[in-house]
Amino acid sequence: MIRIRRTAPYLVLLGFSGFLLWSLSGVAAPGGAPGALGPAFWPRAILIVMMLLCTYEILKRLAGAKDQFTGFIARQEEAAKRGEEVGSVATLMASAPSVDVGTEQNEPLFLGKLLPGIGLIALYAMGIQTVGFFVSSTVFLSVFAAIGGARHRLWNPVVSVIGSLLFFFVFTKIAYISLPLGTGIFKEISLALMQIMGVK
Amino acid sequence: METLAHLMQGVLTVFAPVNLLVMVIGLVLGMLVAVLPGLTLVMGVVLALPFTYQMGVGPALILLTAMYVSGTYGGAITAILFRIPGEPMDVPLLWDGYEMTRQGLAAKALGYSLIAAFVGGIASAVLMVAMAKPVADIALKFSSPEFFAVIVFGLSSVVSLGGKSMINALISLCMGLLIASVGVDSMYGQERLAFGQPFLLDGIEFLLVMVGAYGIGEVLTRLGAGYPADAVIDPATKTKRFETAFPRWSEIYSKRGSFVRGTTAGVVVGLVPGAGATVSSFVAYGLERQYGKNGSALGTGAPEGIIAAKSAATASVGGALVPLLTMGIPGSGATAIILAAFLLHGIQPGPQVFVSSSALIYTVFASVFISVIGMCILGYFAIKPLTKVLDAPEAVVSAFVVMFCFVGAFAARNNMSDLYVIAAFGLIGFLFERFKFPIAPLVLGTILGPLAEDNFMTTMVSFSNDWTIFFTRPISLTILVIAAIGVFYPAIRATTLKRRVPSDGGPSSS
Repeated sequence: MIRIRRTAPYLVLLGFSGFLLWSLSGVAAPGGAPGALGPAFWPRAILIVMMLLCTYEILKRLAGAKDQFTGFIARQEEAAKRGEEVGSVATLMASAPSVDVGTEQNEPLFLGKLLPGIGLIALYAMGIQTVGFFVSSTVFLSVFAAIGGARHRLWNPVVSVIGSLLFFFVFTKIAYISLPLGTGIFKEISLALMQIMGVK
Repeated sequence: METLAHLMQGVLTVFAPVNLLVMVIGLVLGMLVAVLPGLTLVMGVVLALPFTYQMGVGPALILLTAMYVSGTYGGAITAILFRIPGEPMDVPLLWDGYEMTRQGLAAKALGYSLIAAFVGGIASAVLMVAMAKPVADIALKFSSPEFFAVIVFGLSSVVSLGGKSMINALISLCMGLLIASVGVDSMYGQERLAFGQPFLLDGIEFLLVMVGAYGIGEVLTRLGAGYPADAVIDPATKTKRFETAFPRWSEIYSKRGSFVRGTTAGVVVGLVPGAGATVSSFVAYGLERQYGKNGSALGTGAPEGIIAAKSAATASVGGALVPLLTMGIPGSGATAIILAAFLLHGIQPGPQVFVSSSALIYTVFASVFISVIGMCILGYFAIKPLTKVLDAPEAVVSAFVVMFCFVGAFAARNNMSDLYVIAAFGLIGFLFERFKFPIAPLVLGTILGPLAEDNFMTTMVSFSNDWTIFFTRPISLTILVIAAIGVFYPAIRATTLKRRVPSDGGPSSS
């Protein structure tokens, strides 16, 4: 069961590549120019390579073999610890004292933060055109910071409002970026702000 | 002499008031992204890229170059003082820099770090200027098979340095190349992989892939990890007064070997497409440990450890810019973004640029020199405000990063669908991190994909679909062989080691 789970990403990629390969079956050079490689040649070649790589990794994982490159680096680290010279970048890196930095991908996932965070980013993307940049960004900044653990009752809204206002001004007045103003009442808010800030 | 005149012209361009202001902004932003938790140098340069649309190409490149240069230094301060490496390249500074801080030598550690960054940066800038024109002259003789081989070399380097799993790096690269092929192809004008969707017919902008995967992807990764960096700083350390104390000339002179080794390693590793500051820093540290006079003391608070790592990290900038400017092959993540800036302004870096836009190239060169000096001035005077930046909660910083990513998407094409694309690539970036697929090959594949396909297809058309042409022309054959060695060396080495190391894991007999 663990082995099958370990192959899941590669199975998904393999299936997706197969679908894309199938979707390219109708693409050909215009007029069927003889001898021409055609517009589908390049993506098709990449997809075939990708499918071969996925198949290799799936078979390797099903067979329970240790990733040879991970193993290689681990062996070099071992060799470096024993004071042997094995002469590669990995060994040179391993020759330095070990130190614990950053996060490892195997660390536990804080789903209570992650899922609401993803949902909020999706909402921000969907709502920005209707609600406008200023209002949507103010709400987003405040709520996202709270989801992430910064839950100061006063500072969160203050930083969000000031940040949104500041960057609304910088983007529209200085960087000349056309930001969404929203619709209805939200558009009126955005236009009023722009008038106050002297943005035409 | 002609080069020097061009360089002086570049210096004058950089000193124009607007350009100088842009450079100062770039230097400050570079330092900030290197210090701020949850922001990396590459991510910072990516976030700045969309805001260069409205600028001329000169100021845009000055801004990004200044960010790139100063971004290699900012993290050193927090690594030495608080044991927080702002960037992966600063990790070796923990071993000796922080150790010196614990011994009460923080000011001196910062002094060594600043001098190493200055020496590495200036020396690599000189080498960059000296090497660029001859390399470009050689590259001028290249035809499409050679250019295809060079691109393959660039992509293969990224793969071989892409992480512990080469298969994952190759898959990531394939995905990048595939993304680049979505839309109407340039040779036949036929639709591919667009499924009739209007927003896919124009292709997927590499900017969206970069900003999404690096920006939002990293935010989701950190959010999913629960922002582990927020509670790391020891409050007692934070209340101390920080300053930089320069070592005496005799102390510097006695460690000249470390400066030379570090700078050389930085330039050489920086030249390899795909390597960059992090690999340079680690390699230089490893070399210093093996070959340095004081190598055995490294890890116990030896200044040589700081000098090697820091001079290499900054020296990698000049090295990484050479393949970018002369052949259009980025030498690091940050130079991939600088390549994107060139492309966004309709300029394809390569040997022709030295003929058609030499003033621009020398402006970039000059901006590296002046940025190194500016970085040192800023690094000396801005320690206190930079350390204050660490007070910002990572969750708040992340929220602003997402906002910047979205504004960046708008700046590109003013297209709502780009927001969905950027959010989707954010999720893909997160999944990549989670399942240990490196993001760099994906991004580089997306940027270099069209170039690779164009050169491949042009070669095929020009040489009647004879694919052996890549192996019968000496230059392309040589480059492809080097690329193959880069990719297969770890596997060959692993097999050799497997044979040499007994199964019980004991020491090798040879």
